[in-house]
Amino acid sequence: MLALHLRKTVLTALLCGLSTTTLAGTTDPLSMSWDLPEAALRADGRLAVELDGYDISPFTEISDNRLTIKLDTPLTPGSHQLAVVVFLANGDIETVMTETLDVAASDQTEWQANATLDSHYRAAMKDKSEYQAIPHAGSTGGINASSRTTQGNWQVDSTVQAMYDSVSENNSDNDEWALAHYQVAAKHTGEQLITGIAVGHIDVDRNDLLFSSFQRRGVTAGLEQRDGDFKLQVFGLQSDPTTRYDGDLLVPEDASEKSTGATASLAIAGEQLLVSVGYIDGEGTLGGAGYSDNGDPTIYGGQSWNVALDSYWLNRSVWLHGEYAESEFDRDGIGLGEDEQTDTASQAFIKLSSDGDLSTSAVDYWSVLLHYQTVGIDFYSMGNLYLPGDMSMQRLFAQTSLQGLSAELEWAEEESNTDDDPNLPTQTLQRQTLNLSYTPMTINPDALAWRVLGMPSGYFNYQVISYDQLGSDAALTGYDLDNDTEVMALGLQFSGQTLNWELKHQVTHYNDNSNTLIQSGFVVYEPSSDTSNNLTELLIGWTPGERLSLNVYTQWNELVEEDSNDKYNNDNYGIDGYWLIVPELLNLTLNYNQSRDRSDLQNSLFVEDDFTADVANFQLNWTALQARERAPGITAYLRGSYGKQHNHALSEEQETWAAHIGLEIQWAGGQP
Amino acid sequence: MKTLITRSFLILSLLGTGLASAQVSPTITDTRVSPSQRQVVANQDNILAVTWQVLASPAATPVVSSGALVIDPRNGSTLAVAAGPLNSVGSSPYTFSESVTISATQVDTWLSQGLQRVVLSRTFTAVASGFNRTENMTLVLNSGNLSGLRRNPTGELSISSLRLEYASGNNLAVVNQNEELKTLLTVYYSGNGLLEGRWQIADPSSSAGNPLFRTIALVRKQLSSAQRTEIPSPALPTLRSGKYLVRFCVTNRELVDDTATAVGQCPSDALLVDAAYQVDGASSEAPQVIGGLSPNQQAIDMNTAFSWQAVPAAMVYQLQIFSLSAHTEFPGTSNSAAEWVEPQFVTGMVLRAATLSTPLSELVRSKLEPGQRYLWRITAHDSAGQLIGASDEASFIYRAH
Repeated sequence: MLALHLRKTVLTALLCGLSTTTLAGTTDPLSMSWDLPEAALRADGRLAVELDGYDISPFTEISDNRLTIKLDTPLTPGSHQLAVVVFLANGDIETVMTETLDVAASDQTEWQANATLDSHYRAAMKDKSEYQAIPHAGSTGGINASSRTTQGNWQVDSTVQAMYDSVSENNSDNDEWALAHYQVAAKHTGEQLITGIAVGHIDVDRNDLLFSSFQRRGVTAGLEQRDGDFKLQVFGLQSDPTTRYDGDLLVPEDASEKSTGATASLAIAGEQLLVSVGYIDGEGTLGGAGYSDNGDPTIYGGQSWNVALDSYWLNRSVWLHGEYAESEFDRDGIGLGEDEQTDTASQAFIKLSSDGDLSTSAVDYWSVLLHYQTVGIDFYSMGNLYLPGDMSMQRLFAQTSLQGLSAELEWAEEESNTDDDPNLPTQTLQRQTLNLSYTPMTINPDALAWRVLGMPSGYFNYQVISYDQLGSDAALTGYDLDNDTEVMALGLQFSGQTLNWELKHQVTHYNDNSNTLIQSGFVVYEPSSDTSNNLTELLIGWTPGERLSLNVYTQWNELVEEDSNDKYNNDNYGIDGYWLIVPELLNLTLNYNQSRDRSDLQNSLFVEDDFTADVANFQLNWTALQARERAPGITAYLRGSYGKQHNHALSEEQETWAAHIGLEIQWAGGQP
Repeated sequence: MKTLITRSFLILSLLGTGLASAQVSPTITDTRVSPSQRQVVANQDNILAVTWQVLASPAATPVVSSGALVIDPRNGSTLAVAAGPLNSVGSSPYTFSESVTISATQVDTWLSQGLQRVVLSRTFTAVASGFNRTENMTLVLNSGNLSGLRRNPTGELSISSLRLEYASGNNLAVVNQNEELKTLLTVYYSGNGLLEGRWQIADPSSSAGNPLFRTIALVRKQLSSAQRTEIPSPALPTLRSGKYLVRFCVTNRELVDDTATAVGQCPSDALLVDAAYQVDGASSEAPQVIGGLSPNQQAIDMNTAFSWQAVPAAMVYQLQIFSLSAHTEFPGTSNSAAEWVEPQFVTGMVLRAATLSTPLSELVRSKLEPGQRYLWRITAHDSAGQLIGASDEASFIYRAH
C-alpha cells in the first residue's frame, strides 16, 4: 500500500525570521532592491522572482529598472537563493539574475511552554468498600517546554517533557513524576566546523547493522565539517530506555547499565565514496521503558564494530552500499552459560531509482532494490539488540506509479543456519508480495456520486509465504515444517468535506502441509490445523461542522480451524463523539465501545468463549476562563466512566463505574 | 535438578448438565492443552501456567492423570517428571489449571544433550474403563531470551518481546490538544504465524482511577518476515486534555492459557505492552486545519484555479507542490516499510492573505512535467511568519494545455 509521509518542516522553512548580509538580524518584514540587468528589461519578456523555489512575484515591484521586494513576513536565518527569471515570447526561459542572501541569526532567546494541571475528586464509584479505601483526590498534569538561545556562533537548545500523576492506582512505585523527554544541547558553528555537546535524550543517527533507532538518555559530543564531508559522534548512554526522573539523568556509573561508542563518516571522493565506521560497547537488559515485562533480569553485553562503504552515482539515482560488522558478545547473559562469542554480519545492496538522472516522464517514479544480508547466530550489538540473526536474506523490491496507480512488488528469501551447523535445522522462508493502490485522477468533484460518497481511492494487497525445512531435518528436530500462507486485502476509502469512510477486508489462509512424525513408535509431531481468518472493518468519520463530530468503527473477525471447523469470532464496535454545545463555554465528549469474543467449537463439550466487554466514558467541560496569550485558562468538568465485563460461558459479570469532578488549569506562553 | 508444581482445579459444571446422554461408554472423548507451546530458557527458572481440558463420558468419571512427563521427542524417552498426578472432581468437562516450574538447570541439561525442544505430556485415564488419552505441550529450549529469538525449533509463531514507543524512543509523551499522535509497536518474534491482538486505550475519564480500557482496534497481521515487525497504532485521541493510557495485547490463544482467555481481553501480562501520554489543555499552538482544497484528484491546466478556505489572522499563504519520489531510506530487511514513497518539494508560491484562489503562475508551471501526478497543499502564516494553518494534501495531474 502506498504510504506518504510529508516532511512538513521543510515546507515552512521559508517564512519566519530573515536577515541578509545587508539586513543582518532583522526580524521585520523584508524590503530590499536591486538594479535589474538589461537582459531583464526586454520588451517581449515577462519577469518572475523566485526565492528558495517559491514564486514571490506578488511581493515585487519594478520601477525605474529597479527591482524591489517587500515581503509581509520575515524569513528564517540562513542562506536564501534569489533568482529573477524572464519568460520570452518564443517560449524560452532565461535566468537573468541570481543572488545569495546570507542571513545571520540575531542574538535572541525563543521559548515556548505549555502546562496543564488537573485536580479532581472522585465523587462516587460503584464499589463502596473500595471507594472508602482509596484517596478521593488526585492530580495529573504535564509540562512541555522548549527554548533556543542564539548568541553569536553559539546556539543552546533545551527541551523538557514531564508528566505528573498522583492517582494511587497509577502509582504502585510511588513515582508521581516521570520524565518523558529532556535534552540540553549546545552547538558552535565555526567557519569550517560545527561542534556540539548534548545531554539528555540522545539519538545515535545511524540505521545499519550496529544501530537501529537507538535513542537513549546520556551524553554525546560531536563535530562536523560544514560541508558535511566529515562527521564524528561519541556517546555514553544508558543501555535501556528510561523515563525515570530520580535515576541517572546522564550516564550511569554501573557498567551493567551503560553503553559507550562512537560513529564517524568521511567522504573520500565526494558522493562517489563515503566511508562510515561505528563502535559500541555496553551491557544491559532486554527491557526498559516501553518493553513488555518478560521477567528476565539477565544482563547481556559485549562490543561490536562495523565499517561501511556508500557510493552514489547519476545524481543519486544509483546507490551502492556494502557493510561488514563483527561482535564479541555474551548472548546468554554475563556470568551465565557460555562466554562471549565472536561472530560477523554483512550486507550489501544496490538501489536504482528515478530520484536522479534516471528519472523518466513515463512514470511518476520508480525504484528497484536488490539486497543481501547475512547475520551470524552469535552476532549482536547493544545498539540493535533485536537484529534478526542466524539468517541469510536475499530480497528484490520494486515500485512504480503512473497516473494514480501505484504498484509494489517484493520477492524475498530467508534461510536460517548460516553456519551450516549439522545440529540445527536449515529452514527457508519465501515471501512474494504485490501491493496495488489506485487513486482516480479524473474525478469530477461536483458529480453527485462523489459529493455524496466522497473522493474515492482503494488498494489491493496480495502476499504468499512458504516456510519449510529440509526433509532430513525432521528426524533431527523432531518435527516437520512445511506450510504456506496466503494473505489478501482489499480496501476502499472515500474522503469528503464532512464524511470520510473506509471499508476493508482481509483474508488469511494458512495451509500446513507437514507430516506426522513417529519415532520409536512415539508420535513426536502432529501437523497443526489449516486455518482461515477473515477480518472486515468499517470506519466512518462525520464532521458536519466545527461544533460536532462523530466517529464510528466496527470490526468483525472470524478465525476458522479448518480441520476441526472450530470458529473463533472477535467483534469490536465503537463510537466517539464531540459536541461543542456553547462555543468557548461548554462542550461534551463521549465514547462507547463494545468488544465481543466468542468461539464455536465443533466439540461443543469444551468450554467455549463467550465474553463481552462494554466501556463508556463521558466528560462535560465548562470553560470558566479561556486561556489567552500568557493568561491561564480554567475548565471545570464532570466526567464519568462505566465498564462491564460479562463472561456468558461462566455466567460471571463484573460491573464498575466512577464519577469525578475536577478543575483543570491550562497555561501556555512563549517568545517566538 | 528442581521441579516445582502448584496447581488448582477449576471445575466447570455449567456445561455438565444435559450432556449425559451424549456419551454413554466410559471413554475420554477429547483433550486440549493451552498454551500449546512455550519457550523455556536456561538462564532463569521458568514458571508455566498450563490449562488442560478433558472431555469424558459420565461413565468415565473419575478421570485421573499420572504425572506430567517431560519427553525427549527424538525417542519418546522420559527426561523428567515435571508434576504429580491429577484427579478430577465433579463432572466433565474437566479443567485442570496448574503452574509448572522448569528449572534453569533442567533446561541447561537438556540443551547440553543436543535437544532443542521437549514435550510436556499428560496421559488422562478413565478409571472405570482404563481408557486413556495423551495430550502434549511443546517446550522450546533456549539458552536465554535473546538467543531464543533466533532459535525457534518449532517453526510456529513465538513472541519474544513487545515494544511501544513514541518518536522519542520511549513510552511516554506530552502533546498539545489536536496534535497528531501515534505510537509504534515492534513485535520481536520467531517462526511464522498470524498475530492476533488488540489496541486498547483508557481515557482521562477512567485513567484517574482503575483504568477501564476500551478496544480501539483489532489487529490481525501475518508475521512472516525476519524476526521483527512494526505496527503503527491507530491515530490516538488528543481532542480532550488529560492523561491517557495505551496498551497492545497479544491474544493468540496458542500463546496463552484458556483460563486467561476466558476472563479478559488482555489475557497475558507477558504479552502486553503499555504506554501513556498527557494532552496539555492550552491549544493555542495547534495550527488550524485548512479545508476546501480544489482541485483534488483532477487533471489541471494553466487556467485551473487553486482555491482553499480562509484562515483568520493569516498574513500570507504558501502554496506548495510536491512530486512523488521513491524515497531512498536505508532499506529494512522485510516488507516495504523502508521504501515508502516520499513527496519531494518541487515548487511553490507565496501569496498575500487576500488571495484565496489563484491559477498556477508561469514560473510554477515551468517546473512541472506534463502528465505527472503531484501533491499540493496550503499553509497559512501570521505576521511573524509562524505557522497558523495547514491543509491536508490534495493531488492533481498536470496537463500543459
